[in-house]
Order: sequence, then C-alpha cells, then structure tokens
Amino acid sequence: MSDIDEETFDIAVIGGGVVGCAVLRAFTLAGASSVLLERGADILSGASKGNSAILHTGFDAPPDSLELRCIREGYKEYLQIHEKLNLPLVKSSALMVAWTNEQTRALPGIVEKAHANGVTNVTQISLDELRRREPNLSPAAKGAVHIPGESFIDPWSTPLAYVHQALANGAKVYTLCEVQGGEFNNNHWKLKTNKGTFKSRTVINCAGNFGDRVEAINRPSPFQIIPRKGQLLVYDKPAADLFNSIILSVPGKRTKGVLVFRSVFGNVLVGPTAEDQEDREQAEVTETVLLDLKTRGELIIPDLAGQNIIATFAALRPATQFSEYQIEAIPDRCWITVGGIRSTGLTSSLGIAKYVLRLYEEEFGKLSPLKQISWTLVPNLAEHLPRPFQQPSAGEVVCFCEMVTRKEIEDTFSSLLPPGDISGLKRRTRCSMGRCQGYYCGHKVARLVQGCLQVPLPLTELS
Amino acid sequence: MTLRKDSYEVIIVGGGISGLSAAKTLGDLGVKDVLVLEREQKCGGAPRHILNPSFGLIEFHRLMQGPEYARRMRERVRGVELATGFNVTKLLPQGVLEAAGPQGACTLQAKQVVLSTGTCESSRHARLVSGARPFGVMTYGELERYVYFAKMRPFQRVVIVGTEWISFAAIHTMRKNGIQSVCMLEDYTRTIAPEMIALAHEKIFGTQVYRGVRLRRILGRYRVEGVEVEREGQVQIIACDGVVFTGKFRPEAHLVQRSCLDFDPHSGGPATDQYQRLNDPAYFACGNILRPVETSWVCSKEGIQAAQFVQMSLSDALPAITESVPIRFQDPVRFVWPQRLAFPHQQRHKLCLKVSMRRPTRGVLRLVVNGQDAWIKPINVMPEQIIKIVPKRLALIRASDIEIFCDER
Repeated sequence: MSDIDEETFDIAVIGGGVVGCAVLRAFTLAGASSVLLERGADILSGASKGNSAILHTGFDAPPDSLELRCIREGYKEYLQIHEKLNLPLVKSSALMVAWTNEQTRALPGIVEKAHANGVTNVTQISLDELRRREPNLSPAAKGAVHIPGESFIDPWSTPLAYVHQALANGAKVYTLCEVQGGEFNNNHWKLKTNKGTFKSRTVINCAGNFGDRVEAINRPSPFQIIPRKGQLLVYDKPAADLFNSIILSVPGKRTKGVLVFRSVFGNVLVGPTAEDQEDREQAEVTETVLLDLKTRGELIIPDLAGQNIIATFAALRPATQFSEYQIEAIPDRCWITVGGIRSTGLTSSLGIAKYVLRLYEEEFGKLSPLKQISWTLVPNLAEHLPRPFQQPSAGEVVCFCEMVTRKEIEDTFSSLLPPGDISGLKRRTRCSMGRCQGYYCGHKVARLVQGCLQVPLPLTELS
Repeated sequence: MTLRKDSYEVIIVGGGISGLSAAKTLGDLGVKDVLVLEREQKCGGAPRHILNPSFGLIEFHRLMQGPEYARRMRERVRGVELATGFNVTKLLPQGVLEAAGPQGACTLQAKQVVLSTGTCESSRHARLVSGARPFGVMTYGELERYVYFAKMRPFQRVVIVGTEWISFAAIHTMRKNGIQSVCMLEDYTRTIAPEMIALAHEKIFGTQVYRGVRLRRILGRYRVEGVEVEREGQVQIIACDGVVFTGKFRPEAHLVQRSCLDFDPHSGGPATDQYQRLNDPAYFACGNILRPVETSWVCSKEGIQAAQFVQMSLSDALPAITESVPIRFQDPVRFVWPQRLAFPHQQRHKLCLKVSMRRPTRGVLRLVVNGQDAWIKPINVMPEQIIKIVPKRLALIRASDIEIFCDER
C-alpha cells in the first residue's frame, strides 16, 4: 500500500470524536504537524454524535480523578475561547432534585463533594426556593441542590469549531479512513488504513468506542470497551417554556440518572438511559424504554405530558471496566492512549487535550507553538443568538422547523470541513432535525446535497 | 419578495387550501386589506403533491388531481397579497406577528389573524417506533415530495404503516413511481379506512394488509433492510428498503403552544369556539390546524366560514368570548372540536361538533346539554376517524353545561 500523504506528521490522531477534535486542535496550535484519521464519513460519527450537550462544572465527578481535572480545565478553557470561535453558552444552572427521603439525605453529601471538587458555589436550597425557580416541577420534589455553573452548549458545532481551527492552522483531516493496523520502526509509526499508509512520529488513540481495538495495534489493550447505550427523547420547542434549569437526578450507582434539559437549539431532552450492549456502532431505540423515559420525564415535569415528542435517539458512550479515564503515554512506543471517556467528554475534551499535550511534551520534548494563531468562526445554530434567517440576507428558508436557510446548507460545502454524509450536514445546520423530521425539507435537502456528499443518499432519479 | 406594508386588516398565516379559501371569501365579502403569509415558495398546501384525483368536486364541479386543484384555488384569490417564503415565528397578543421573510425578520400587525398552518403526519419518532435509524424511513407526505417535487425515488420495496384513507392512496403513488408496496401494517384487528377499501386494494393490487400486526423494529445500518413485526405472537422479518408511516396527522400548532393563545393538547390544535375564534378575539383558525384531519373540501369550507366570522368580528357581530361554555368529555373520547360554544349562538350558522375516539369504539355517543340528551347516535368507529355531531338548534339555547358521553358496549 502506498503513502496517501507524503508528510511524516508529528502526531496522528485516530478518531474524530469530540476528544480527537480537541486533541488535534491543541497539538496543531502547539506547533505539531498533525493529522486526524476518522473511519466515519464525517467527524462525530461515533459516540460524539449523541450527548447531552451540557458543560459540566465537575461538581459530582469522582474526587481527585483525572476526569475531574480535565472537566475543570475544559470548562475553564471553553469559557475563554467560545466567543472567539462563535460558540454559544447558555448559563442555565442546574438543580439536582431529590424525589425520595433517601435522596434528600444524600444532598448534603453532594454539596460537600462539590465543594471538595472546587465547585464552591453549589448550595442546597429550600423547597420554597426550588418552587420559585421551577414552578412547573412536580410537587413531589423533596429537596434540591443548586449548581449555578452548569451550562449547555452546542454538542456538534463545538468539536467542529476545534477541527476548523486546527485546519486553519495547518492540520489535515482524512475521513472514511479506517486505521486497520500499524508498524512501529525507528521511532516512526506507519499506520495502515483503507486509504493507504500514514507516517507519524507519535500516535494518539482517541478512537472512542473502538479504543481497545485501536490500542491493540500497539499493545494488548489494558481496557475493554463496553459500549453503554443512552436513549433520549426530544420534545418540540414549546416544552422549553416549562422550566429554566437543567434538572438532574440524584445519581444512582452506575449513572447520573435521567435528566430533563434544554438544548441550545431550543428543544427539550429527557434521558439518557444506561444500557450495556455489544454492538459498537449501532444504537437502536426501543419503544418500552422510550415510554419509560416519557413517564419519568412527566414525573419530573408533569406538563411534559401535553408536549409533542419530535425525535428519539440513542448514542453509545465508550465505557470501560474502569470508571476513570484511560489516559497514558507510552514513550518507548511513541503512543498516547486516550480511552474510556464515557460521558463527560464534551466538557473535558479541551482539558484532556491540554493534559495530553503536557504528557507529550514531558515525554517527547517541547513543541514550538505557532507564532500566529488563526481563529475561525463556526456558524451559529443557537436559538438565543442571531441566526441567518433573521438577517436581511436570509433568502430562502429550506427547513421551517429549525429555520435553516438554503445558504446555510450551501455554505457547509465550501467550509473548511464539508459534511461527508447527510448526518454531518444535519449536525452542521440542524436541517430536518425539527418537528416534521423531514416532511417539509427532506426532498429539498436531498437535491441540495446531490454530488456534494462523500456518502451520497441512495436515491434513484425518476424520469 | 417584500411586503407592501406592515399593517393589514386581516393576515392569514398559511396559504394552503383553507387559508386561500378564507382569502378569497374575505375578498368576496369586501374585506380588501388582506395579506396571506406562506412559508413555502408557492401557495396551495399539501394538495400540490397529492396526485389522487379526489379534489375539487364541490368547488369546481369535477374531480381533479391535487396540483390542479391547488392552482385553481390560487387563481381564485385575486387582488390579495400573497407573500411566499414567509415564516411566522411568533404570535403576540392582539394580532401582532413576528415573521421572517427572504429579507429577514419583521413584525406585522393585523386587526384579525386567521391561522391556517395545516397539519402533518406523525413520524416514526413521534410514534416511538423501535429500531435503527437508517435512510428510507419517512412519512407518506415526505415520500410524495420526494417523488413529485424532487423527482427522486428513495426506495424500491416499501412497507406501509397505517391503514387510513391516505395509506391506500400511498399504494397508488408507489405503483406510479415504480415502488413495490410489500405490505401494509395495522396494529388494530381492522383497518382504519373502511374494510371494503382494504379488501379492494388487496384484490386489485395484491398488497397484503396485515391486521393486528405490530411493527416491532426497523432494521438496517445505512439503509432500511427490513422490519420486524409481531404477528399472532410470532416474530417475523419482512424484507424491504423503505418504511412509510402514513396518517396519524397532528396539527401544526407550535406557534399557538408558545403564545398567549389557548392550546388544546387533546386535538393538538388551538382551542376555539364555534366561530373558529381563539381566546384572543384577534385570532381565528381554519383547516387542519383545528384538529386531525379533514378533507380539502371541509378545510375549504372552514376557510369560507373563518372569513365570514372575521367579517362579523370586524363589525362586532359576534357574541363575547366571555359568554362561552366549555364542552366536557371523557375517555374514550380523544378530542372534541370546537372546545367551547359562545352564546347566543348565531342561528344562521349551522353548528357542527367534531369528535374523535382514542381507540376502536362501539357504543352510543351522546351530547348532553343541561343534563338532557341533545343528540344521540350509535357509533362503531376507529381512532383517527371523525364523527360529526349536528345538534338540533333549539337544544343549545341557554346551554350552561355541555358534555359528550360515550357508552361503550
């Protein structure tokens, strides 16, 4: 097999999920020649295509963990850079609500843990205060903890912005490029992919749900991925008027429990579940679980009962047998492992990237940062900030439910990283993601993307 | 396209059949300062992509296909400003609208607003259907738009979910476009449209209608590979490359839900009185936003009525909203439209209530006014069907308590 790219990169990042995108950005800006290899047709094709889009403070992360450290650093950096990348932030705050006496008894411990984690503004609030903040919350609530710093962000534009900035500063991205093996000789990696080989001095494994398989290229994987499925319900925008904060449950042993929360796009989500499964690629929804989520959502906010469910989805988080992140540098093999980033990756990715960069510089030597860093702007999809359809240059609106203009769709194809498949386009623009799920715009979008996607839609022309 | 001005006597939100019909009638009644806002590039609504020749018999005295019917409905509206490419984004009190057109956001004002935003079918998501999310799963409306607007075929062998009238229309659309209808699935043990229709389609087109069969799961990674169904306790896989969800129409009423206007979660549309008037007297509604789902003729008639009521409202001839009585109901009734009656009732307007059931229902349906039966009829209906109640006029004079009962048998 021939080299697809002549260059010998300083680093090759395997996996274009949110973590891979942030790592690519951090290394590129630090001055490393970097390449991202993604097996899907677009970035965010795996675990990162579905998440709760919350920017976590880390108030309930395991104390003294690497996860907590990365969440804290990631949170801080997001606040510093989001405006420069045109990324939204909704400072909604969160309420962790207790529904049983047992949960109520757990609340002081949660506050204590939050303080120990450095999130010092977390407080337990009175029932009156809870009612004042959330008048539509079920009266069955027994107590709550207020976490002012919890916020929500755009789950897809965020990593896209990281990749855009990396690309603008010299990184390369290959999609539909699956790493199938690799050889390590003379301190160089030769990675075999379906597209040819890539040469790199260091490899960073950010392969998410395939983390252990990619790890096996280098060594027997010390961890095993056990994909954990989360199913979610999406309600139409009117449901967003029912509450203000992110409503969290007091966590159980394994998961954070069911959340009721808004998205920056204006919808309401209920979920996720936590179901272990073997399949690493396909996450199916199941009616019984969705019905159960609906019931649980309505127990938290009874008025959700009259609201329309417009979408359902399931995503897989790359859980391992360990609760802690699996991040490790193996200097003699020029390999860095970034695995088992289960559910906090969106927040922690910037922190992870920083941490990995530090590991790299400790083990492989200092990089010389770029003299001039370019900043790139991603188009805004958040409801509370100006959108193209509101501007004098709006033109035709193609997707009525999410108010996506024709120009927004067309512009993605001349952007730094054009969408590789229809899902990538939806993540970049929100087209067909609203209440009609494509009735109004499906066919128009299909025409607009013709000849533009690496993975075309399977359509036949009618004479 | 730009608007002539930002204030009108009447603004109609939605240029489908009922909206166009209201616009035409307003013109006939001498209300000239009318604007129709349509978010598509063309007015005419869903009939633009329904090729079944089932339209126009009453309005134009012959049967025609949807596109011709939509064109004729458009042509009848003369002298009215039709603004296409305009999305209304917010309904504010007293007829103030926020909208977005090709030149961006704007605020409009009208003495009266008519809401006619129509309806659309429930997607697989709204039905909470299990399985994967491959390409090739869509509503019948979306398929029509693929084949008639984009002239593309998304699959070759399709399973049709649902047995409403429109579900059988789907069989014809599939045939015309070279798509094989593998079978139709119906949860209930009988079809929603009359069994005769189903039997005829089975016989003529050879499309099996599976009654009492539940769709368990959609299969396929990138595109649909099949569906898993449960039939007489047995799980069975049916191979196909497309799944079309038909019917289960729900009003497009999110604007109402997010406004000061009363929304009825049972019908999924705005709560109105018999004058199609909402709780804010600046707002009226007509067509399939009111409830799922009526034929084009009924929608067009509701458009005519809405125009008449709007004109009456402009000349203060309607009874006050405060003088209205809600219509109560309980299970198995799913919704009743209108949701309330305003008194005194204008005797020249024929009162007609629309009722639909949650589940297949056999029994006796009664309209009880002030404790007395005002209308009574045996019914044997499927969900998604609409029952008309036309009470005797006298029965409703001085009504203070109105309830709809169904005694199931």
